[in-house]
Amino acid sequence: MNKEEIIQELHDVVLEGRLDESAPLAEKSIELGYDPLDVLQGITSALRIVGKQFNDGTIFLTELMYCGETAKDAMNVLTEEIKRQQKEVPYSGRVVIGSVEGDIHDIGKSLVIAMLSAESFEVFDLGIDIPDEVFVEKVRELNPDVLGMSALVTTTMMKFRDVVVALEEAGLRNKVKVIIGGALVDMNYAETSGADTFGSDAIDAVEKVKALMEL
Amino acid sequence: MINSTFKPWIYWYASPGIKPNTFGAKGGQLSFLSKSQIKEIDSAAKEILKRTGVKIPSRAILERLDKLGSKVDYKEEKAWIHPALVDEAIKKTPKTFNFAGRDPKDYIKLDTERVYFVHGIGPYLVAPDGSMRQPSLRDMQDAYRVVSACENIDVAGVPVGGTQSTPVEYMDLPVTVRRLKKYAMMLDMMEKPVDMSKQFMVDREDETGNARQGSLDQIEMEIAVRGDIDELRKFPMSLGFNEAVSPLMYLPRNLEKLIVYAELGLPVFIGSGPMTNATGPATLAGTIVLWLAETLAGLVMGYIMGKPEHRSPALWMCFTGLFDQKAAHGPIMGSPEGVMVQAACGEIAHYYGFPFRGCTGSPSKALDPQAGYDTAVSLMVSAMSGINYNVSVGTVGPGEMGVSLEKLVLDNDLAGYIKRIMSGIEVTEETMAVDVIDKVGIGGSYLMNAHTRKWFRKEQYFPSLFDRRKYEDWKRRGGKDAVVRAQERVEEILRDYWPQPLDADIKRRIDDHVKSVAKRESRS
Repeated sequence: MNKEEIIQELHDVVLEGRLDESAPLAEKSIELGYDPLDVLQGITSALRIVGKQFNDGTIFLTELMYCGETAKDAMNVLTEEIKRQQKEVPYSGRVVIGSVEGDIHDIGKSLVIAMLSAESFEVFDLGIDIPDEVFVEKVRELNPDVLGMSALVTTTMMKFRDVVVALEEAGLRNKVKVIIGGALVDMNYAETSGADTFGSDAIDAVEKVKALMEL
Repeated sequence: MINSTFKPWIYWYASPGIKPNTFGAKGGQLSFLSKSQIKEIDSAAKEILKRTGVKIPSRAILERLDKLGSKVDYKEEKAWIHPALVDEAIKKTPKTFNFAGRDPKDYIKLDTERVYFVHGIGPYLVAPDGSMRQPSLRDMQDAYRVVSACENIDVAGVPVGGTQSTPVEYMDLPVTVRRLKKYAMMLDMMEKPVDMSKQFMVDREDETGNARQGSLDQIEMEIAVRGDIDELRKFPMSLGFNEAVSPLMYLPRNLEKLIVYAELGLPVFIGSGPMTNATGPATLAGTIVLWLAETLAGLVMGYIMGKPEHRSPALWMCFTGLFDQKAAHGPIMGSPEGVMVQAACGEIAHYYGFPFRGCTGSPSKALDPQAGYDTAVSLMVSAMSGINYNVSVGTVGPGEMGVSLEKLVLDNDLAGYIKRIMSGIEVTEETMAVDVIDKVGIGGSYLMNAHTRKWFRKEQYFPSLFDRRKYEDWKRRGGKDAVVRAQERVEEILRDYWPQPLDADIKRRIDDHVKSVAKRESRS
């Protein structure tokens, strides 16, 4: 396989969400000595199409997630190689995300992660039921452009405010933009929580993250 | 260069020119009559035929009935049909047949089980706000292109200009030529079967006589498409529409048509549409009895005028609507009463083994919630009670007032809902998903799961226009209501889709035929 062929194949594998095939293909490209930055383009070009297809309603959520996972597997291999070669990975930005303490809801957050990954963001998923201080530590450690927090029910939504206050106390609030999300969250709630904005759904979240970063 | 012309996995989306579904969804989940009630209605209808009789203004038919032992009054043009002859006609009339448009490969099969949706007809083109106008030729072509793109509509109706009017461009042509030219245009535009049933009611002048010649002209055109009459019998393109005029009358022009179709062994529509309160009794059961008497008379006529070597199959029909006591007119399609009568008539037809045609619709004038509710309820009940051939999809207004292209694309989604509901719930080891449930475990998600990926497209119907997005997402996409989205969809189809043209040889044969009829008409 020459470089063009492998890029094309990786592009198709991601478009079709062939989950088990992407990482081996990425590994093969490295073995063959191709520049991982070039190979990466096969993935990002596919993800752009996937995002458009989802937006147009020709593919659906589960398929989008499969494409996203397929892309992620290959990207992990390629980014490792890029770092090994001491080059810079062309991410759109870095996002740390998690569900707040007491909240175990996962689906909405996974969608946001899938959509962000599809837009070439580097996403660190902290998981669910994340204590305030963990958010603070991770922001300090990873220095993300944006912190995303999710909460589904009104009882856990109060936690947004607590995390924002903790960030302020740690002197980190002005170093990171904060976006919140969840079924009942709106702009009004974002303001009272001290967040910068909110995402009404996964697509909106990506748009808002881009806006926060002025991309 | 990365090649990005990727095909989505499956085209869920109304792919233009989508072919009809030969084996439609199965209906019959809903029932209004018990077997014993059907038997009671059957004896009541036969008693009407024996006691009251039917007006049959056709010397040829009366003579046949006379010869076969039924009582006949030639002066009054009435007959009292013998019950034994009714039973013989029921037994010997073919009960299933194929139906196709210009290409026999794209046929649908009519029997008692399968359910199809048929684009309706109407004299006017109705805009979403209820304003209407007589269609031009271009409007009719547009209608065909939109029908083509609706994947849940199995049969195309004679679009705008169906019952009373014709495109303005053809109005100065002789009646027969005008009809043939319209038919030729339809064949050139449409790959789906075309509901030609009312083609011969198009022009009222026809009442005075030349229905026989008109029918022959049409059938000859169909033979030009198929190659010969045997092929046409295998895959008929039209049915002889023989409706009774309630109560208990037949019209000469309809009988002429019936005779032509029966003699040639081509399928016929048999039935009537008594309006409860006016041309039928106020009671639903009484209306059903009257309909059955009229229908059985029609069946007998088709049977006795046919030839044993190629009998005409029959599609029974009822287009009963309410004659509304408050609005003081009828028929009101989409009324609960009319829909129940039709559903019950369908059950009776199925009891005898015949496929059945029913009518739905809405008397609402504009594309408003009422139009949606009326259509949804009537189409749902019709389909689930097993009515096989459901006409009037895409129409709006009282008494088949008009065709709305916007409503057609919305009704396409509705038809998709109904087909999905009729296809039911599949219960197998795989669909019960015990292993999957176990694997996901407590508190997991099924979204990113091979089982989900395999099944969700089969289990979920995806409407193309009905919106389910979250508020902000909907707002971001312009915050458009269903009618606006429907208008855009229609515009999109009319911008992007043109049908496959008709085969050049067939087109030439059709044109020659139209020319020869035009020549004949100009001589007379």
